[in-house]
This record gives sequence, C-alpha cells and structure tokens, in this order.
Amino acid sequence: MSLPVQASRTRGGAVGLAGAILSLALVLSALQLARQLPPALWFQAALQPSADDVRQLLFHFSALPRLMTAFLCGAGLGLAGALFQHVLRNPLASPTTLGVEAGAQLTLVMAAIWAPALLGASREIVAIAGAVAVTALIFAVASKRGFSSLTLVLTGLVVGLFCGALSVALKLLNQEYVTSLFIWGAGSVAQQDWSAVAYLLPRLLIGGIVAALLVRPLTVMALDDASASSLGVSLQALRAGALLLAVLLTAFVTSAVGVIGFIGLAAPQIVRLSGARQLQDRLILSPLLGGGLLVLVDQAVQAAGDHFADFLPTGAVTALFGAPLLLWLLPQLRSAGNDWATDIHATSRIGKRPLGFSAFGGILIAAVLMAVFLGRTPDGWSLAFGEEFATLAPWRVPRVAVALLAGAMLGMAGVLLQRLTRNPIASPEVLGIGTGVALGILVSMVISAAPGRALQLALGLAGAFAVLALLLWRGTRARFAPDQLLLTGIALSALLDAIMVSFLALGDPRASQLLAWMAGSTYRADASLAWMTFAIAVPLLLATPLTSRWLDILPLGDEASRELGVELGAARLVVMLLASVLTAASVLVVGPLTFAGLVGPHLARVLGMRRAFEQLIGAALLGAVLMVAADWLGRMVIFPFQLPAGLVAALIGVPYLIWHLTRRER
Amino acid sequence: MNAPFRRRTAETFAGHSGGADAVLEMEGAHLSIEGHALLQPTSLAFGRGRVYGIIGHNGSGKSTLLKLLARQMPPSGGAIRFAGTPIQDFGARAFARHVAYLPQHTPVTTSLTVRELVRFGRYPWHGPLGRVSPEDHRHVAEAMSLAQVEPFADRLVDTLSGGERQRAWVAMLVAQNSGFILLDEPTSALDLAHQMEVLRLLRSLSRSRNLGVVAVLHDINMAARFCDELIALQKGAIRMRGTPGDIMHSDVLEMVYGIPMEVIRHPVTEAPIGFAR
Amino acid sequence: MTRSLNRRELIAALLLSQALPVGARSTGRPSRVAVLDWGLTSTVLALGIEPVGIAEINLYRRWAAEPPVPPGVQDIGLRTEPNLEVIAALEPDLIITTPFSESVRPLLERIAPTRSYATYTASGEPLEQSRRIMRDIARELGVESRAEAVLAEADATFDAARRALVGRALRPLLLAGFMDARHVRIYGANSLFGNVLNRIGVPNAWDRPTNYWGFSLVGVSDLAAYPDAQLVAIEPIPADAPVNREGPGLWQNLPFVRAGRVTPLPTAWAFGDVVAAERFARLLTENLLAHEPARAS
Repeated sequence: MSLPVQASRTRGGAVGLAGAILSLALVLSALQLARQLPPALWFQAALQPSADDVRQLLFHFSALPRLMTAFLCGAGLGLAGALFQHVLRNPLASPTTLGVEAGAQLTLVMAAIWAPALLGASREIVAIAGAVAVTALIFAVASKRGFSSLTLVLTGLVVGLFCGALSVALKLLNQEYVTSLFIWGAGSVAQQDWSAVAYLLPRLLIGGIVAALLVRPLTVMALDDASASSLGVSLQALRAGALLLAVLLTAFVTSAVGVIGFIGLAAPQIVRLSGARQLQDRLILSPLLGGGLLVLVDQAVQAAGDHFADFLPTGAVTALFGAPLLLWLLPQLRSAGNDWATDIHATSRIGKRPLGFSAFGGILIAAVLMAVFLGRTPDGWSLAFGEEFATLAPWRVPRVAVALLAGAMLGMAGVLLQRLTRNPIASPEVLGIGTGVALGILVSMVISAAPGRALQLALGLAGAFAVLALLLWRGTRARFAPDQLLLTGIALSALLDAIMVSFLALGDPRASQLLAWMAGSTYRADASLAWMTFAIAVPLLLATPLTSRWLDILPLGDEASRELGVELGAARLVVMLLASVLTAASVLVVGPLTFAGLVGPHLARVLGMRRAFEQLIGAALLGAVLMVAADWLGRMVIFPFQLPAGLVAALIGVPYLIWHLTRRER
Repeated sequence: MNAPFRRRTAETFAGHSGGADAVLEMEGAHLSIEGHALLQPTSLAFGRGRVYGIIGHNGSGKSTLLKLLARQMPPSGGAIRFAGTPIQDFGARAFARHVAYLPQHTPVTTSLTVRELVRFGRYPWHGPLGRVSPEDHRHVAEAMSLAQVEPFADRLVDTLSGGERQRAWVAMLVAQNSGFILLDEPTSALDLAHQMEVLRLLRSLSRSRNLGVVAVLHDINMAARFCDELIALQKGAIRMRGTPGDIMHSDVLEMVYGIPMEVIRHPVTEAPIGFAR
Repeated sequence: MTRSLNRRELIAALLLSQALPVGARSTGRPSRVAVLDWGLTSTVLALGIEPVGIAEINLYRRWAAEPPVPPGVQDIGLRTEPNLEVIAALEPDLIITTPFSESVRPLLERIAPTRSYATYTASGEPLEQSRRIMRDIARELGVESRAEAVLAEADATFDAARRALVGRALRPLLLAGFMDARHVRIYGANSLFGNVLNRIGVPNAWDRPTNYWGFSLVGVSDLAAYPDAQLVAIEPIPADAPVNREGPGLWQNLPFVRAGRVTPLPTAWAFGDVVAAERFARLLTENLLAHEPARAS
C-alpha cells in the first residue's frame, strides 16, 4: 500500500533536474549550431551577419532567434503554470484551464474568416484580445462567487470548451481560410527574424518581476481561504491579480508562437514532484525547467527534421516528451486531499425537490419526437408523416438513437468520474480514451487510402483499449488513487493529442475528416450502428446504478470509505472500468467531444439530485436530452450544412452552465 | 496464499467468536515510515464494555496507534488481531462490522443530509447491493436518537455547527453497530458542553451496548473523568497504563506531558484534576 | 396520434432501414448527379453536365473558381459530411465522390450508385490520374466525346505553354503557398502543380521529399537552400506573409528575394483536376512571360 506521506526530499532534486535539463539543452543547441556554422564565425554572425553567407544569415535570422524564442516561451509558460497551479490549488491547472488558448484561438479563427486584414496588422493583438476577453468573462462569473478556485476552474474549463467548440465549428465551415491556424494550434517556434524575441523578452521580463513581487503574499495563499484572509491578505484581489499575470504571460507566448500546451502543466508539476515545495523555488525553477525543456524538444525537432519529409510542430512534439516524463514522476505525487469538496456543497441546496424523473423522461420523449419528425428540406420546414417520414426515418432515427444513447452513457460516465475523483471538473475527456479512439481513426487513415467504417471502428476500439490498458496498468500500481488517475489521463491525452495536432498542422486534406470526426458527429450512424450501440449501452446503463452506494461513500475520502468497509481498490477499479467502457462506447459512435459528460452531472446536481442514484439517472436523462437536442439543432441551424452533435452540445450546454454558475451564489 | 479461502474462514470464525468478550489486541505492532519510528513495537489489548483513553503530547503516536487498530494503515511489523484473527484477514465489510473509526478530521460531506450520513453506517451490513432491511432502518433511527441528531436530521451536514456535525458522525458510527468504536480526538473542535455531551454518550453506549470505546483525547481531565482506563504514550511508546487513579499523579503527568504538572482533588466529587504548574 | 403507434413506427423505421435495398436503378445514363468533391465537381462541370447537388458551393466559387457553378444547383452541405437527407431528396441517380467518403459509402449507396475516384494516389501522378478520372466519369455519364475535347484542349494549353517557354532562361521554380509569417507550403514534383511544371518543361526547384499530397510544409529558413530559384507565391497570400512585411529578416535577405525573383499567381485549386491544372498552366505561363523582361535586365 502506498502511504500518503510526502517524500522527504529537498529541493536539491528539483534544482538538479532543472540544471540537468538546462545543460543538456545547452549542449544540444551548441552542437546543432556548430553543425550549421563553425563556432569561430558565431560572434560575427550573431552581430553582423555577412549578407553573402547563407549560413550566417540562417544563424542570425533563424537559428539564434529560434533558440531564444523557445527558451522564452518555455519559461513564460512554466512561470504561468506554476502561478496557475498555486493560485487555483489544483495540480491539474494549466494555462488551458482558464481557456486562455481557446480564447486566443477563437478570435484568430474569426479574424481569419471575417477580417483577414487584422491578422496582417497584428496577429498578436488579435490573440491577446481573445485571451483577455475570455479571462474577463471568467472573472466576471467568478467574482460573483468570491473568486473561489472551483468556480474559476469550472468556468475556465467550460468557457474554454465553448470557445474551442466554436472554433472547430468555424473551421469546419471555412476550412480553406484557416489552414494556417492549424499550424498555430500545434505551436511552431520556427523564426525568420528577431521580432518574436523583441516582442517576448520585455513582456516576459516584466511578468517575471511582477511575479517576484507577488511571492510573499502568494505564499500565504497556500493556506486555505479562511486562514489566509485572517493573515491580512486580500484574497480576491491577490487571486485575480496573480491569475491575470499568468493569463497575460500565456497570452504573450501563445500569440507569438501558437499553442504549446503541455509545458505549462508539466514544468511546474515536474518541479514540484522532484522536490521543490516552496513557492519561491517553484516560481524560479518552473520557468528554467520549462525553458530548458522546450529548447531541448525544439533542438530534437530540428535534428529530426532533416530526416522527415513532414513538418514537426514543436508545441505538439513537446507533449511527446513531457507526457512520459510526467507519467514517470507521477508515483511520487502526494495524494493529499485537495480542497475541492469545500466548495461544492455551496453548489446545491437542500429543500429543492428534484424534478421528477418522469418529467425528464417526458422532456426526452418530446425531444426525440421533435428530432425525428420535425426537420428542414430544401423546400423549407416540414413535419414529416406517413410516406415522407418513411423516406426520412432511415436517416434520422439512427442518428437520434445514437445521440440519445451516447448522451446517456456520457452523463453516467461523468457522474462516475466526478464522484470517483472527487474532482468536479473530471469529465470523460480526462481519461484520454477519446484521444485513443481518435488515434485509432487516424491510423486507419494512414494505413488505408480509403478507410471503411469497419476498419475505423476496429482501430478506434483498439485505441480505446490501449488507453484503458495503460490506465489500468498505472492504476493498479497506485491503487487507483484519483489524482493519479486524472494526471495519467491528462498526460495520455496530451500525448495522443500531440500526434493529432501534428497531423492537422501538416495541412493534409484528410485532416478535415479527422476534424469532423473529432467534433463529435452522429453523421455516420445507420441502423446497424444504432442497434450495436443499443446492445452495448443498455446493459451498461442498467449496471451502473448498482454502484450507487459506493458512489455515495467514495466522495467522503479514503479514510471514511475504508472505515465503512468499502474495499477501495475493488470499488475504484469497478467504477473506473464502468466509466471507461461507457466513455469508449459513446466516443466510438459520436466522437471524443464528451461535453454531455461534464454538463449532465452538474445540471443534475444543480437541479437537486444530490445522491448518487438520482444523479446517475438524472445525468443520463439530461445527457440524452442534450445530445438529442444538439443533434437536431446541428442538422437544422445552418441547413443544408450540419454541425456535429458533440460540438453543438458544447455550444448550447456552456451558456446554460455558466448561467447557473452565476445564479446560484446564495 | 489462498486468500479468499482464508478470508471466508476468518469471517465465519469472527461471526461466532466476535461476541461479547471479543478482544482487539496488538502484539509487537509497530510502524516506521522512511526510517522514522512513529510507533515502537506495542502490545495492548482492548476489551468490550470499557472506555479507553489514549493520552500523550503531540507526535507521541496516538493517532498512529488508532489508525493501525482501525486498519487504516498496515503495521510495519507485529500483529493486530480481533477476536484472535489477524485483522488483515477480515473482509473490508466484515471488519467494519466489528470496528468503527472516526478520523481526526471528518471529511467534507458533499451535500449530504444528516440522515443520509447516518445511513452510510449500515453499509457494512447491507453492502453495495444488498436490500436495506427493517433492521437497518431501526439501527439508523436508534443511532440518531441516541446521538440526539433528530432535530436536524434533514439538514445538510456541512451547514451544522461543529458540535452537531461531530454528533452526526458519531451517530453514523453508532448505526454501524460494531463492537468497537475508535475515535481520534472526537472532542477537539467542541466547546465544553458539547465535549461533555459526546463523551457522556460514548460512555453510556459503552455500558448499554457493551461497546469497546478507544478514544484519543487531548484533555487529560476529560479523559480521567470518562475513561475506565488510560494509556499514556510518549515518543511512540507506551509510557504508562492504568486507571485514571493510577495516572492522575503529578509525577506521572509530568513524565507524559514533559512539563511540571500538579493534581488536586475536585472539592465536590473528589475526582482528581490535573493542571500545568 | 398515440404513443404506441409512434413507437411502432420508429421500430419499423429502424428495421426497415437495415434491410432497405439500393434504390431502383434506372436503365439509362445517369442524368442526376451529386458531387461531393471540388476537383470532381470541376470535372463534371467541364463535361457539360449540371450536377443536381454540389458541396460547399460558395467556398468552391472562391477557392476553385473554374468552371463556374450554374445558379440553381442545390448546395448539399459540407464536403466532409454532406447532408444525406438533402442528397436523398434530390433523388440523384449517381453520386460521385472520393475515397474520403469510404466510411459513409454504405449510406450513400443506399441513395444511389456511388463512384469513388482518387486523384491523389501513391503513384504521385495526380495530373495523369485526373485525366483518367475525367474519362471514367465521362464514360459513366455517356459523354466520352466531350471528355476527349476537354482533354485535348488541356493538352493544347500545355503544349502552347511549353512552346512559349522553351528556350528561355527559366530559373527553377519554388511553388509556394504562404501560410503565415513563418510557414510556407512548397509544392513538389508529386503535386498537381508539380506535374504541370513537368508537363510544360519548367524546372521545379524543390527537391526534398513531400507528403502524400505532393507538398511540404516548411519554415522560411528552408528556402535559403535555393538561392538561384524563382518563387511563385500562389494566392491567396495572407496579410502577414513575409512577402507583405517590411523590416529586417531572413526573407528579405534571401538571394532570390533580394534579386526580386518573387511573383504572385492567382489562385488555382491545388487538389483539383485537369481543369485546375490547365488554369494553373495558363496563369503560370502568362506570369513567367510577363516577368521575363525584368529578369533579363
């Protein structure tokens, strides 16, 4: 049994690790540079390159600024990540958590489609505007609830999802306009002049100085809210200020080179796991490690680039290196209780009788009827009956059936995961299963010029099982400790995501197929798929409520669960397996955008379903309603074009969830 | 090892002999983590129908002792047995039917009412899938009545005051209907009146239900007043063990707490009262 | 209407759809064609057939341009996920698409016989492939003579280009599609454009391996290896591309940039067909001839 005891290391380990990575990065860079230009010429090339010597020009305008940009970006993200994790008190917090990149991406996509001139004027300003706008929205919501970590993270997550979904929708509809943004999304630090360095250096320096000034008050913040305020720290202002700083740091980096997601999560985490516990140490070491890591990766990318026909985006490749490193360090993660639960009880009130399940059932039936009978044709709206219905039903009924079943499964999977991990932002996505399936589909596209559905399903299934096997293997070693599970899932997701993003960045026309699939479409559903899903879903949906009693007790924590005689290892294994299989089954048919799995459980709770059983049924019904409605809307709104159901679910679910977040402040 | 088989035999066996005179005992059990000995090899036996108080200053190993007994951690060595069977041989629920444990920091209860929390105490009996029997309901009702939590049975636990919350958790333990209850500083968050209330409840349960109560207690006078036997720990080892009368001497207390102490008699009850000089 | 009836209807629909046979095929030549890909759309239009449905018509008009889509053709939605209900309502007797649709092929086949054509294959000869496809589609539609005329016209354009350019001091070309300030797509020998260069006798400077689609995505620095080349920037060129930027940088110091050997070229659909190739050849020749004096001086 692993003991919940902090490893008695000193920060020496962290310093050593950061130093090792930095020196390795330096040596590799020097070797790489020496290959390009004899060291004797370095000085001249750096200051005054000879215009006739291409090697010197490359050294001056490409290699050097690229090296510096990589370091600056890694450092900026490392610092931002350390701030995020500290302020939000969540080891999973990263720039992505607050939707910074998603906001920047959305404004860039909108600009690319509707105002390309803006991108020419300043891509940076467009990106920062998006990032800041998103943060402002998140702060506006969070300020209603005293900037609690939970609200910030939850709002950030859903707003990020919303922006991401909207970006994908716009990209799907305007593919040709946005190919360059796929490169941006994969994060490339390639340079051809000094503009990025000139842009980043002063901004990040100022950010670093501000962070240094904040160290003392931030240290106090490590205490819980009550103690910190009793020590005279104005928590709200401090939290908002520190977050704004982290957001800006991220926005600068992102606007300059694109999305480099993993460093912000991994660098502070690695520093922490290797023994740096003091905030001060973490704030110094995280940027150094982050910078070193990114330089290292970028040098490796450049070295490998000569052997690849294809372009390797550094940001995406980073995850390939960072994720295994994080996985390796994970077992040392202290499974100390987080303060998540303290916030949650405020989110539900007693006395409100849950709306009867029959009411939800009624809503679901109404949604299904609407989705099946009401639709648009080239001649306008129509209510299909009789013969017309007979011709339309083979198209509509399987889609609605698949959306319904997938929504129900995701809703339940979300409840299982949120209760298992005691983390309200856990959703089926974090398991990394969706990405596993996506990778399977990607492989099908690579190995076959014309992948049929059977091949796609088979490889998707293989991907899901591969991820599941890895989760189980890691899980058994950590007795399925929730934090470990989440971080393993996130590391896996990042790893697989990197491969996907690289593929998209290449500009391969097949990418559009992948993009459509990733957006979560019921498009490919036919009767056989619907029956297959039905056969898988029904036993799972019936079996899951049998775990209700575990799900009630598990959120009380390990001690209380053990006290009450819950066999922790077995209970967690069963819950995780159920969640995984539910997720895999739904991801296979509607793609990896599992928003119903996040919003279903939350809405069920908000509507007064406090106990696990109620919440499971409620989340399943709500998930089903959401997906059916989303599928219908996706088919109707921009007819004859169609938006995937998973995407629309995010687009309609998010505003509703945010509205609830701002409302239930009492 | 044929673990499932062993487990089954242990349960049947415990079912027969986990009765009124069953004993929770440790023999040479100790715990060290990364070279630090948190508890030296310790041998102790606890019987039913008595209240045991574990005293000692911070870091003396009190909580560790309790966690080992409650099977929250495995000992580094030595044996811990219930009714003669090593506790690790019990199934999770079987053990919970015999020994209940209240941690020092009760967890945050995510939107649970008091009644729902108390019902959790029946989990060891009905398990994840078993039917909730009338007997389960009876135990829940009785536990709530004993712990006097009925007035706020339908309020959220997290909205209660410290004393009410503590009583709700004790009610859950009572509903568990185990032979032993282990409590880690059950009174630390409570005001005087509530301390008295909880300890009085535990003592009367011990008498009326023949319950073995083992509690880590901070307040030496409370311990002396409500316990049948006190166990004093120091630096992870038992320093002294005996009735309150044996322990409540200035030299013994000085040894246990490491500061000069004095003991006087209560002017009315004649009970010994210890205080720092 | 009672609920039980609805349920029966739904179940019937589910069962029905599984067993639904391919729609009755007409005996004559297909006349109602739905096309799910732009390159193939261009081929069908060039054959003088007006499809009943085309995917993403508005974007086609902007990006592929030729041949123009007649008004009144029904838009059937995204190329990736065309609207099956709409296609079915158009009652086509032939659906033309690419292997991308393979995963929905069973659904398409239920509406009408579906033919799938791949312009890009492992052979890396998209131009030759697209000629073959034009003939295949023409045979399917019974307009073989029309295909021969279109192909002959294309050949005539290629030959004219070749004649016009032969003997001139042509620099090897870098065919570039700028992505943003730092990245550029270069079309290699295996691309449709690369095939055209080969056909009209213009050397392609890019000698590095390319992907399945015949192009490489590279940074500006990768262009430094080609000091003697001429760069043709295929429109649309993003506003922040280095061509549009001032200030010191690698781009401005590249030998062919300093020598002024950079010219823009109006759009042509890189993943298109013979018609797109012909358009590209015509535009490129005009472009090279127009800039030749500047180069000679």
